[in-house]
Amino acid sequence: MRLNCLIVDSDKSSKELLSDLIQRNSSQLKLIGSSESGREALGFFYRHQIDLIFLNVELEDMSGFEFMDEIDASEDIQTILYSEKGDYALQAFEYGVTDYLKKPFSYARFNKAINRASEVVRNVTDFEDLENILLEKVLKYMYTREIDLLSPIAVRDAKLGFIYPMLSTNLEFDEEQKALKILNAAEQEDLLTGEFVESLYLCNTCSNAYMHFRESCPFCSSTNLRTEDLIHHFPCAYVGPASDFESENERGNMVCPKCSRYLKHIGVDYDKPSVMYNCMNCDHSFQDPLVKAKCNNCGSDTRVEHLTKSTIKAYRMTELGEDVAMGKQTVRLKGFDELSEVMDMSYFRKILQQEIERLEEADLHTTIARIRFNNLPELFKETGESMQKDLVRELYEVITENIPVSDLAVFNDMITVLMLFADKDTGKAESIVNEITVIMKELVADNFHGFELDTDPKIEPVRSGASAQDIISELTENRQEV
Amino acid sequence: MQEFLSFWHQQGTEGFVRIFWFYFVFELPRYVLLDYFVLAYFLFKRKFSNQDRVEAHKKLLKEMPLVSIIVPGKDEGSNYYRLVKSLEEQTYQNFEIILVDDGSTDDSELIGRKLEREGKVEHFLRNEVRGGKASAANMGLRFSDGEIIVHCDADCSLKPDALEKILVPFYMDEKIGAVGGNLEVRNKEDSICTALQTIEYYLTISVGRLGASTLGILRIISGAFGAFRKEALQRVSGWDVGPGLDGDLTLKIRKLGYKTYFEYSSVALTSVPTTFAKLARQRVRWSRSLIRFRFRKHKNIFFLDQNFDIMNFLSITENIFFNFVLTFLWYFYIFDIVTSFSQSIMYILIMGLALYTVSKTVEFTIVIALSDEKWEKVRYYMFMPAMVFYTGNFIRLVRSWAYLKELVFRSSYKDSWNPAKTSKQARQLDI
Repeated sequence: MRLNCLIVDSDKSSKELLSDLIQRNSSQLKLIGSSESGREALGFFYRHQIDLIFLNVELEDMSGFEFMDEIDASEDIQTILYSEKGDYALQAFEYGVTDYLKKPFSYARFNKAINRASEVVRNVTDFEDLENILLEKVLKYMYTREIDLLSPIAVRDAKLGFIYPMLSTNLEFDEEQKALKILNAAEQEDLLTGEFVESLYLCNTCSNAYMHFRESCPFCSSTNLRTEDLIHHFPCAYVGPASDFESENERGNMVCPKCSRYLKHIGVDYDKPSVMYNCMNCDHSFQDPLVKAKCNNCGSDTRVEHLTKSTIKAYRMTELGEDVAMGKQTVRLKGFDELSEVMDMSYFRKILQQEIERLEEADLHTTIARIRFNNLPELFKETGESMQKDLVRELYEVITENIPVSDLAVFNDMITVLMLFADKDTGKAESIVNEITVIMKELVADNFHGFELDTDPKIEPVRSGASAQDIISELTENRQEV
Repeated sequence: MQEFLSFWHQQGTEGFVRIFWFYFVFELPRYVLLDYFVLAYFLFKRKFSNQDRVEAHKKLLKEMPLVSIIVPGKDEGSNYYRLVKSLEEQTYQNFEIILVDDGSTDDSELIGRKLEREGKVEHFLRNEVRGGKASAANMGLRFSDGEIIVHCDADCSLKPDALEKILVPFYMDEKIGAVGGNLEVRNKEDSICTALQTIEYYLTISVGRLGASTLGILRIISGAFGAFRKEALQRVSGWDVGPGLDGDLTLKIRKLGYKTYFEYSSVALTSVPTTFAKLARQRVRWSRSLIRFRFRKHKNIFFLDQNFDIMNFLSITENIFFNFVLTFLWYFYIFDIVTSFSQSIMYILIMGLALYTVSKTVEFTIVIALSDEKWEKVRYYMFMPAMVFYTGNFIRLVRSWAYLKELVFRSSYKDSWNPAKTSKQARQLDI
């Protein structure tokens, strides 16, 4: 999908340069119009469907921020703000712009900005196109058919094992689990109220409800196991698997291999105190097999302790829901991409850039730190996507709770966190990082059976004159060496 | 005082020996003279067999046999961590740990399973219903892969070279089927009761068993820490229903023609009862096994048939005579003294205390002579007068009581140390 663009820039050459750049990205962008004055641009804006505005802060008749005030820059409009002077980063962020560019910027940098914009737009449109439309359909369906209670129906072929009328039929098999997310979000928005029907374990990776549960060898993970009762013969204290007591000559009679007596009666002269598992693959004997669930859709094999429980509910419409169904209100669900805050690199980059500029003016110490969780992928292998996100979010919370409010943290990717310590030298930053590391290790160990998190911290002072992007890539690119 | 001296002056040497005949006839030759003789013999032998030891040690390190360490027990979970830790620090590392949980009702299962998951123990085997210590040990044996089996109590911890040292004798002599480790008291300082047991362990285990081993009549490989050739254990089919199953097992192995050996330098620390009441209960259990196993189960040791073995005969006879016969003969001795010397009983008591204190001191000197940490042990000399009452009276009374009860009531079959189901079967079959 191409984004409809508008350029607002009083500087003619700059305007031309931008329109040139937009042409070069014609697969993603479509230039609808450009304007040299704010007033003129406003008129244009209201007459056209605009997705993305390239806005120079320094306009002739107003500032870029005033322009944004005028159009009441809502979430639907992406704005890429740029300026010559480059000291508007914080303000720009407060306006919720998509990106902020300092002139002169490279083509690569420009590309990054428009990628961000198209990504955000894609999310928003997906959202509108799918979740909200489906929910509206469901609400209308319930209202027009006078359905009091939207109950899940057990269906063998469904991915969840249940379908919701109207909702599941509109979802592809791969995304049937979205029905739960939509209904859950609707409940949170007070459009529906849910009543418990059933709880289910879904595959952590693909949310499929059909899994085989079976014991597996804790050493080689094979499920080719043989179980055998152990027999304790009281008179001679021999203990061994039942097969030890099978006699070759006399079928049906059990003979003690130690004292050669016949076993008479269970509970009198022998008992079966436990069961032994024998792995046919690695020949290990054990009593405590791992119980694992193998998804018959995606094949992932997960320890049952790591499965997460989902709840299936039946739903009733609230008055607010009825209003939506009648079209008095519009549906607007939030919160599907839960990691956007945790991984908001652009904000981090902006603040870092600001810090760099501050360093140029005053003699300050600012430190940037990176912690990489080298063995986190091992945990991710065991858990599904939603749990991975939960874990990253939890780690993020631990970090933000434990760094001073003036400082900043962000996940660069699922296993790397960046931290910015304003007005702190490396020594101070190091002690904070160490403290956080200890807490995070404890958190992971507590939640994942003593899993030892392997952390790799790197702490460096922020140098004036460098670009934020360079500093970030330098810190994060080193990972190839490891 | 004056009267005391004149009484003893009047008695003279002859009278002295007459009064303390029990000491001079039995105890002096056995516990002082024999021990010193054995010590001299041991030191002599050690000097000349040193080269053998070095060779055996080399052979051990070359072959590096897998050792299975079996740790049976009930409600021992709290000890697992310390035990595993002490094993992790061993100089000899080719071993597997097999914890056997005999129907614990505490957190043992949780702790054991965790150790198993972490790979710190090879097997954690658990029976939901208790089967008794013998069955637990047999279960461990059944699932062990080692050539050498070490049986170890969960409340023991091994000194870092204990495992390496206990394995050496197997390479000195192929006929050695079982090697006992040296036991020391861990909670030496807890109470006067544990201090006295510390001395007792030094005397009866460190020195006593060293002597027995040197003479070839070692009759017990302690369950707390002992090593066995797996082949020997398999030939005797493991442990039989207790109590005192370690002594019984050792005897069974000896009967097959294996030698038993005591390794003085391989040390395990064990916790001992802290009060005399608890100690008495423990010793009653130990003492009963003498009757049950020596008199009943293994009575064929006294038969002069083709299986007769003079060493086994001596080993058991020594045990029965000095533990069983002398325990009861002592009452006769007391009766003799009380009736013959009723007037001067106080003088005899005081002199007796002095005599036995001196005797104990002389006995304990062997412990010091053998020890590498001589100065640490010197302070135990001050407990010698108390030791006179400890072994002379306390242990003797406990033993008498245990022997009588077992002889008359066969009370070991009712001991809750074994589950009722196994005792009942053992009783019916008279084993």
